[in-house]
Amino acid sequence: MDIRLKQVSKSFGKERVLNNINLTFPKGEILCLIGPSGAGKTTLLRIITGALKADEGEVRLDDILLPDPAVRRRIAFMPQNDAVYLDLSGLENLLFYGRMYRIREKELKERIHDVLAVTGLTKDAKKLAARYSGGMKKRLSLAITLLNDADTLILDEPTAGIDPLLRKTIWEEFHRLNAAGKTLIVSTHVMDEIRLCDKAALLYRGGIVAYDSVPALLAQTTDGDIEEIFLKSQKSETEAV
Amino acid sequence: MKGMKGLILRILKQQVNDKRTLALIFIVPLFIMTLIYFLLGTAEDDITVVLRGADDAVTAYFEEECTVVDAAANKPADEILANKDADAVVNFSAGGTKIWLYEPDSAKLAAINGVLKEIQSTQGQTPPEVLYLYGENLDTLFEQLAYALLGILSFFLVFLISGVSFVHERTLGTLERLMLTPVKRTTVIGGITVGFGIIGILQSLLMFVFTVSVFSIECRGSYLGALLIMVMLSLTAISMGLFISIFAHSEFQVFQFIPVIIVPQIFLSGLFPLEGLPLHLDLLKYATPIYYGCNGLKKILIYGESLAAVWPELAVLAGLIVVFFALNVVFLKRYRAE
Repeated sequence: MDIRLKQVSKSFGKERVLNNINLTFPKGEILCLIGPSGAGKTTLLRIITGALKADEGEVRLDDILLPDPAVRRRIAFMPQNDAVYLDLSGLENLLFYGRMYRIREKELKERIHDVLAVTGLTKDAKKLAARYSGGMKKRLSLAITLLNDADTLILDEPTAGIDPLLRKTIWEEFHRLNAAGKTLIVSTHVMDEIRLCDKAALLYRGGIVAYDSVPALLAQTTDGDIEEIFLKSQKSETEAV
Repeated sequence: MKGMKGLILRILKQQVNDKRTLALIFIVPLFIMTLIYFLLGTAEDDITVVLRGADDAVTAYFEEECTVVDAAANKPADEILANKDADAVVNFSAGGTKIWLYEPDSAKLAAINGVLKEIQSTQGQTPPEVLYLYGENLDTLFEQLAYALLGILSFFLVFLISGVSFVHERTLGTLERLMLTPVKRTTVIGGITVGFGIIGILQSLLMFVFTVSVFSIECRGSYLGALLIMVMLSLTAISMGLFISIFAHSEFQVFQFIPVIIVPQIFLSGLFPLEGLPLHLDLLKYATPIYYGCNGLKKILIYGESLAAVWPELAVLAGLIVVFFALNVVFLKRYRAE
């Protein structure tokens, strides 16, 4: 299930947030959308999920033009903020979203059991989410994303603000999901995380600076520091001005 | 001292940058004070009076301040008031002066008392006895205003809860996440409205039973009618709360709407007579849901009307629920490209 973005642009008021984005995310890979804060990563992901509409251009899932209500179930989104109900328990959060996805009750219970196990929240499932630590809330948010068993997972800065140990666990989980056939599109501003992906798109000031396989991108740098590519782009932009 | 100066400057700078707070602090109080001035500070100046047993001199005093209308000599005061032939009937006899009014109404009474005071100073009349067609046995202010308080509270609390909760849903990101599921927009707004609606129904039931049983407030008309009005008013409040929250970026901003959305409605609810308002500002009441709720409750609790008598109020509230429901559904488009 490839996702193809063709000449996608988006503005908020007078500010051009995305400018003529052309990208193809192939099925079954871990794709990294990397860039500094304010580069337009979240806006791009929200357009792919169908939360936002592009001003220009189109997004297709295989041949289906998005947004399309029929494919809404096939894409799951993990927002940057946890987006969980703090006054519900972890289990109640999962039950609620499962019902919104219209998963049958019996199947839902099985799915909840699985996603709680995957995210390591089984023991704390009946605790109020308000009592969860930051990392647990993040895991609950991931559990909600996994609940629907979607083919494509779109994850907006899933490791932002969490400790290195949990980050490692989460990435291990992403690789397990990928091995199970899921496509993952992960945004991050942590440059090192690029090494954990198959392909990466470097986004800077609303435009794609580079898009290639990770080894090919790293080959463009002198010491494997991906920031170099951003700095080169910034330099050439300054020279052009 | 430097630290304090820094804090003072920060507070002032924040207020200047927040135009909404500036308007709330400087414009809204003036608006509310103006409204209160017209509601409480002016006597009713155009009331119609039937005079009985008044000599020419007394009639002349009344004619200066009121419209004196004729009524058949044998027509009872109750009938004149019930038919709305006049706002008041004033009877002068050797036993003293009696004023009949439709219901407790401070503005009309103030207008008549104003004339009587003038007469008193020249003719030495004794203080009048005041009688009401409705509300005769409403001895305390609480008994007179219980209907309005029931209406205002049914609206106010659920308005706040639904508004704050919806803003919370947006700021947490749960609304956006919810909108990415296959759920329909009408289902989202319907579910939220009914969810809070159940709380509103329980609240209305509790408030009504408590007021009637514990405070012995008499409900002269249909119990079902009174409850229906309260429930419809709280459903309107929920829909309106959801709608207003669209314009708020935080819970704090929902509270900022109270002086703008709630306070004027309280003044126009029937707690105060509205006839003295200039420029027909009393017509504003027709744009406020609380007025319809309070008017319906007044009809039932004070006038003893049946459920059938409050259908116009119920219809308007139902219409408002539908309108705000539709607006809220349209607003949700913002969270899902379609």
